[in-house]
Amino acid sequence: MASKPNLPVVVTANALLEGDVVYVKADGSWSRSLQKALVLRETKDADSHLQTATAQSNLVVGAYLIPVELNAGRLETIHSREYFRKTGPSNYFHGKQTEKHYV
Amino acid sequence: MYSYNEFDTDFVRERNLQFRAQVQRRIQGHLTEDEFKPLRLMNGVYLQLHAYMLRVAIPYGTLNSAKMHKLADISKRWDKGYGHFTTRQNIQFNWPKLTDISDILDALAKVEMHAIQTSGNTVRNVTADHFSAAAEDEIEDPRPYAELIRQWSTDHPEFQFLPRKFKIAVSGSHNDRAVIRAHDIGLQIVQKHGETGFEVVVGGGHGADAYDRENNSGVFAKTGSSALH
Repeated sequence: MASKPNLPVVVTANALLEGDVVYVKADGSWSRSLQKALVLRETKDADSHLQTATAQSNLVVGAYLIPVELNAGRLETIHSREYFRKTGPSNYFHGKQTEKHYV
Repeated sequence: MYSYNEFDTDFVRERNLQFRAQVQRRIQGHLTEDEFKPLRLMNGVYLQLHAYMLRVAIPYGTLNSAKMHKLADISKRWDKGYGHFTTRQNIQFNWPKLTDISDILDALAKVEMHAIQTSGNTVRNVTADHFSAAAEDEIEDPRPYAELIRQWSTDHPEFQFLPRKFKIAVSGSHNDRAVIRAHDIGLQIVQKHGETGFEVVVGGGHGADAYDRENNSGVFAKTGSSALH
């Protein structure tokens, strides 16, 4: 079983229909923007939101928690994998992430 | 280039219908992701970091203009206007929606293409020298043999659940442009004692942990023999 990430965290997954990278918002819905993600600072909150997200298998695939940090008022991912998921392919700027709703 | 017969056309049509129903069952919640994943992989559909990806088979890397036009049309209609040709001579569309993939597969079928066995632990696309039939140093065009292997291994019940993916390449020249020594089985057309046949190389690796093998099998199989049957 994978170890739990350091707090704070957000819940992420891929949208079932489009495959897009998505994050859980405060109202429980999903956003393509990390900046709109709900930041979870307590383990019990993180576990609860992950459980809720995992149950939404009609909306998303593979929900999990990722550590984040607040940097100059913006949410940033910590691991390279999540940076690539957030910003798009690393070879050049293209793909869905060039669209406005990905920030 | 192989042309579909009636059996092939019906088989691909039936397979696409099955997949369309599987996608609907996943969306409607009748299939879990764990149940759906092996089904989509058997039809070339991955879920990668950013999006779904559909890998389309291009046997031994040979296309005609109708197929190339269809790939371009698919990229414009259902993707972002481009595709990625792979080292194993397939093409990948990196941004399709799950709900569009069945339509893409139907469009491919119209030009006798599909995405079967482009992923999963099975015999993958059989590759060949990309200069086949145009290379000065070629002994014989390797693509008819690649096609025989493709037909033999496609939907073969013994090869649908291998421990790992399995890759075969064929070269018609002593200059190994098909990189046969980095394949699980590499076939090199050679002439020995006035006869044309294959030197067989086994145990190479391909991909992130690629490794070469010398000609370690010592096998010389004459073309036209029944070794593959």
